[in-house]
Amino acid sequence: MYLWDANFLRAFGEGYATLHSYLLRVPWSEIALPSVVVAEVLRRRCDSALKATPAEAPVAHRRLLDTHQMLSQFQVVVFADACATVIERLRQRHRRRKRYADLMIAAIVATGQHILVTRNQADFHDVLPHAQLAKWLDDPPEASLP
Amino acid sequence: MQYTLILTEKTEGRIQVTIPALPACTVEAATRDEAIRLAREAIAQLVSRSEIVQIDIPQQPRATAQPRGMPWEWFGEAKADPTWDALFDDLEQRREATRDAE
Repeated sequence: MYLWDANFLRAFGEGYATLHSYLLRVPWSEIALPSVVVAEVLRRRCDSALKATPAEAPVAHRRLLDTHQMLSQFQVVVFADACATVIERLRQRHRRRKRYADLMIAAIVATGQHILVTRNQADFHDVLPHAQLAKWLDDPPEASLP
Repeated sequence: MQYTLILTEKTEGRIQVTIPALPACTVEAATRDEAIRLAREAIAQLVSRSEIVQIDIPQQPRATAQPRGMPWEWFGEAKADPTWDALFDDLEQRREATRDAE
């Protein structure tokens, strides 16, 4: 399954043309979001909704619901028990200092033998095998898909 | 108890009454008022002869999972949202903050 990092959800919302050509070839059932990305995006929307002034609140709350509805279109792969073991192994293996969310995402990808689709290859290349990393936006589908 | 009646005018001008809560009970009449009167009588008659029993069936009906299609309606949906980019910029900054903490 192709797991999207946050930068691909961003591109989906923006309607990137290159991503469109991938979406024509990859079944939607093969695409999912890691639960980490879902939590990050909803946290930001929830913060905005709860901190908004009364004048800003209607728009902020509508955006929260819109984002919730968009996220509900995706399958979500959850950070499960096995990921907790894998993340410790990744912590010991990597050479560069890591961001915690990246490590959690890498653990989900490694545990489920998924492929991470991200533009941020630099933070993952020393914790995930090359075959488990994809960067759709920079390569045409013919060059990346099996 | 209240019942919903569906009054449908047939091609020959007669009124047919169906009752969604009682699918087996239908009546037909020449006028709207007569149709409602007959429906009232039919319901009263059926209810006077009926008993409502509720039962639990533990098995769930089999459902075929429908593969979800591409939600194109959401593709590019955030183009008009001026906060969409800021949301992800903020998300990146929060991730960076955890790198410093390691």
